[in-house]
Order: sequence, then C-alpha cells, then structure tokens
Amino acid sequence: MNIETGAPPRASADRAVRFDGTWQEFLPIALTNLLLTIVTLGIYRFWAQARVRRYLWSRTTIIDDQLQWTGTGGEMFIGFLMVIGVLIASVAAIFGIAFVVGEWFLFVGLFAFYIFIFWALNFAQFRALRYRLSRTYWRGIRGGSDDNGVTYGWYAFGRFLAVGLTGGIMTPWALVENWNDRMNAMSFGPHRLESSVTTEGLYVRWFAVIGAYIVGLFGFALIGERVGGELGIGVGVIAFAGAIVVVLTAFWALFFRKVAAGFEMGGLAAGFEVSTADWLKFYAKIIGLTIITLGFGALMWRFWRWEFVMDRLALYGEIDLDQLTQSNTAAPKDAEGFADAFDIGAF
Amino acid sequence: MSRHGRWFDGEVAAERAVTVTPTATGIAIVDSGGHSVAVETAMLVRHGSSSGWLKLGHRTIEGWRLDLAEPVDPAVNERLPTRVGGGGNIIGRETMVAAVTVTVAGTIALGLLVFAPQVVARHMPMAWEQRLGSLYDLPMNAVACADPAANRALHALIDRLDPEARRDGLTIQLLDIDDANAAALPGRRMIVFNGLFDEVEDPDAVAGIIAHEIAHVRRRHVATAMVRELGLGTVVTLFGGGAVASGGGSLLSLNFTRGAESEADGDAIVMLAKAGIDPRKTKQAFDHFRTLEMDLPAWASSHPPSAARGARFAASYNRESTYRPALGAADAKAMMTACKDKKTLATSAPKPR
Repeated sequence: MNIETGAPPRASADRAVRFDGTWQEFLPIALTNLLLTIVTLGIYRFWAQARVRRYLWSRTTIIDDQLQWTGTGGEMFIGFLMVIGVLIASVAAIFGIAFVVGEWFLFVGLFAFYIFIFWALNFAQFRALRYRLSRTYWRGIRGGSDDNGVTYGWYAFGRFLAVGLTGGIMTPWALVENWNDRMNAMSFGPHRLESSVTTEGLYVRWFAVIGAYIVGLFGFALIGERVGGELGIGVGVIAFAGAIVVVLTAFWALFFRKVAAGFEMGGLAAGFEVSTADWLKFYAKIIGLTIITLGFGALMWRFWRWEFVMDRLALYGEIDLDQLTQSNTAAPKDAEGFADAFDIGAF
Repeated sequence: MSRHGRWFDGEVAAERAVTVTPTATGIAIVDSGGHSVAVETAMLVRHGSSSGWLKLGHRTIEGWRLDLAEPVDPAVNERLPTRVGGGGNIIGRETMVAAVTVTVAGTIALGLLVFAPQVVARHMPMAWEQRLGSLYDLPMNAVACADPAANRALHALIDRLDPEARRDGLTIQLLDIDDANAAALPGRRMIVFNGLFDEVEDPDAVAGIIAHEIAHVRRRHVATAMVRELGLGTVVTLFGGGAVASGGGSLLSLNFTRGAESEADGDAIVMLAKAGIDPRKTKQAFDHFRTLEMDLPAWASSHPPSAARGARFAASYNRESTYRPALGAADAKAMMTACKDKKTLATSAPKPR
C-alpha cells in the first residue's frame, strides 16, 4: 500500500492521518467522566482514561483504518494499586528496618528511596509508552516492546543527573537521548520503531530559554523599578511570563518537529511541521475558549490537543500490509501503574 | 441488507474481503477463496459502529476483527451479541444512569446531612429537650445567684423584649460567675453570668445580648445544634477516623452556627426595634469586647466577625424612632449590680445547720 499522502491540506480525506471526532461526541464522555470521578473520589479516573482513549483512538484513521484502543480501566487501576503497594511497602520496610537496626538506617534508606523514585519516574515514562503501544491496534496488529525499561530508567536518570549538575545546560541532550532510547526500544508488529533525533538547533533555542530567564529576571526588576508600584510589578510579571512562554514554546515546537522527522518504522516516515506560532495560536485558542465557557472548556483540552496533533501529523512512504504481522512482544500487566502513580505521560 | 465484511485475523495487517452467513450457533466467515471459518456467538464481542462498519472482536484471539458493512443482514445480526462490550461503547447508557444516580443520591445524602438536623430539631418534642435541659439543674443551682431584685429586673427586660416569652416557658437563670457570658440551653433555658455586667455596663447593650439569646431559644437553635452534632458525629465517625470526625464535624457545625448566629442577630434587632431600645448600645458592647482582645465570650465569638455583627446592630438605628432606656433606673441598678452584695445575700439565705 502506497501512502505518499502525508502532506496537508489538513483534515482532507487524502491525508494519511485523520481525526474525525466531534466535540458533540466528546463532551458527554468528558462530562460523565468528570461526574463519576468526583463521586468516586477519583478512583474512576482510570476508567475515564480508558473511555477517552477508546473514543480518540476510534476516531483516528491511519491511512484506511481507525486505531483501536483495547486497554481497560480495570487493568490501569490494578497497575496503579500494584505500584502504590510497592511504594508503601518500601517506605514501611525502611522504617521497619530502622526501628530494628537504628536511626542511621532511616537516612540511608530514605536516600536510597529518593534515588529509586527518580529512577522510577523515568522507568514509568518508558512503561507508559510501551503500555500504550501494546494496547493500540491498527488493522488487528499492535505494538509493544520486549525491553522492560529497567536499564532505560538508569540511563535516563543518569542523564538528568548530568543536567542537574550542569545547571540545566545539557537539557536538550538528555531529552533527545532519552527520546531516542525510548523509541528505539519499541516496535509495532514486526517493525522496530527507529528514532534518530539529533540536538542540532535545539541548543540555540534552549540557551534562549535560559537567557530569557536571566534577562527576564533583570528586566522584571528594572521595569518594576521604572514604572514602580503594583502596576510596575504587574507589567514586569506579564513581560517575564510572556517571554518565557514564547521561548519555551519555540524550543518544544522544534523538539517535536525534530522527533517526527527523525522517526521511521518499516518504510514509513513521519512529519509534524508545526511552528511556534501555530502552537501559540492553538494555546491562545483553547485558553480563550475555556475562559468564554467559564472553565468548562477545560473538559475539552484533551480533545483539542489530540485534534491539533492528529490534524498536523503526516506519514510518508509505503507499508506492506502482508509483511505487517502480529507483534510477539509481551503485553505488560502493570499497565501504566508507575506513570499513573507519579501522574506523568508517555512522552 | 449486507452480508459483506472485511476481516483482520490478528496475524497480519492485510484484510480479507469476506461474506458472513448465519449458522446454528454463530456465524461463518467465508473468504473469496471459499475457505470458511465458524465463530460461535459467545466468542464475539460487539465493539459498536463507526464509518459505516459494525465492528466485532474475538474474546480470545488478540487483534482479530470483523467489520460488517452496515446495514447488517438481520439474519446475521441475530447471531451477534446484542450488548456493546469493551471497545466501541462510547457512552454506555448504564454508565450514564449510574453516574446520575450516584450524583443525585450523593447530593440528597449531603443535603440530609446539612438540613435534616434543622427539620428534625424543629419537630423534636419539647419534653425531650426539657428532660435534657434538666440535666443542667444541679450544676446551675450550685452557682445560681439568688438576688431577687436582679432576677426581677431580668424578667422585666425579657418581658419588654418578648412579652410572650416567659408565658411560653422560657426561663432565665442568673449565675454568680465572674465571666462576661450569656447562653441559651436546651429546654427553653437561658443563663446569664453576672460577670457580664462588669464588661457590658449599659442595660441597653445587655438588652441586645438577651434578645439574641431569646432568639436562639425561640428558633430552637440549641436543639438543632445538638441533633446536628450527634448526627454528624455518628456519621463522620462511621466513615472516617476520630480525627476526621472532630475536624470535619466542627467545621460543618461552625458553618451552621454562623447561619444561626446571624439569624439570632436579625431577630434581636427586630425585638429591640419593637421594644424601642437603642440598638447602637449593642454595637458598643461588640466593640468593647474587640478592643479587649480577650477570648471573646460565646455570644460574641465563633461566628460572623463581631465588627460586622456590631455594625448590623448600629445600622438598624432609626433617627425617627424614639428610644427609651431598656430598664427603669431601679431595675437597671439592680441588674447591673447583681449578686454584688454577697454579705446581704449570705445573711438573707437560711444558715445551714
């Protein structure tokens, strides 16, 4: 099957990636989810998540078939319980041992626990991606990974440690390496996902972020002093926050363009030509809509983000459907337990 | 009516165009080469419809999917599971019903928790409340002040504020306690500490405070608070730990008390106006306690900020009304010096033998 139809116009039937969900369909899902999450004191959120994904996936067409989400709320809830259990047991064990061998162990144990948490945050991000791929079907084929993510957790932890030690300067490197490592460990059907993103261009924008922080802080003080009073502080804060938002968006916009361009899978390539201005316009739109709807628009954020990304994601190349056979990776049992426990996403 | 479909076997992404026919216990899927696969109804999962296809899954084979072109031949449809199961079911009717039911039930339960005490209290027999109130007899009598003139003055004050009150069974007890306080108790009882007259030196201000307590009695606020505390306490203790019970319970009753205090203030203002007593004196009493920065007495504390409450009294002052002192000179003096002359009282009381 030849699908050199990745390029815009957006949302046209020719596109390889299409999203045809409607807010009229999504809003009832989001509303009932909110309602049930409130009345169950939050426990329903796993089932809510499954319903949202089932909907978004089912309205997303890749070439000629909709994605299918087969994950369930129950498995995500169990995964979450497992992880919470591990965390509670760890802390209990540390205090228990300290009770027996003495207070010094509390220090050692809790230090080790914090290291474990930082490892687990990265591990969780890996597992979340792996879980999502394993529950995503297209033409009856799913993705997954045979890597358990344990090693990745340590590598990613080490990179962020380097970032911390260099005062944030190495952030682009850590983000890119971690992204590549995660992607390269994944597969869809028999095809490995391949990611070869480089930091080229990212450093310039990252230094702009750091610069904006520094300049912003000085500028903030300066404006505050010149204009004076509450007005001065107000203007300063807005100028500072505005500058940060713009440079950070510029950084992430390039990052996502690069990760899409660096992606390959079984003869397929991707593109995501979204500029900083596009992102800013998008966020201005959803924030505006949220204000106009007195906050209810927040229920639609998930939908709008998905729509925004899917409308702009392009696929190029050819895929041989006869060669795209079922994945033989193990389907993870812990779902997104770690990711849910720490409340982080797959990307 | 279509029997046409496309089939993904879960092994490979390529689809097969198939024809589906009903069998005795399920369906048969026949591909263009004439190969046939039989699937029992029990093994099928209905995912729902999208883009003109009815989508079905298989209970045990991962990735297996059969899309049937809609509208589906009724003979085939009869062999398919009727209930939409995991996958395509976007808005389950049952989920909606459950959500609405739980929310409505929760709201009603919460409403009962908040409003039921007031309803229950209002209909609680006064005899119960009086029995409860009589528990206070012993400790109260021990510190009661038997100053007849002062008691007479207090009665006169109550009669002026609410002429029906004493006939309706309201009683007041003057206690010899050096603390500026007054309170409403269960069973239409009120108590006043003689320490109140040391801090509140104007009989008109005392009138405002007494009127406030009369309102508590009239509105059965005491009973409401008790029912509420007992009910809430029990409920909260059942659902949470002890800490939750005390924290949550006191928070909720504080909220309730604000409403009751505000209501009592409103009634007191009306009583003062009817009796022609200057309400500005009550405001001064509020201000006085605020400037003392002492632990505010019960009638002035806990509830709406006392500055706001005082202001409300002051605002009710009407320049066109003629105000008269709450009590005549003799009664005023008797009340303000209640139980002060301990010697007199001691000699007037029968000596213990």
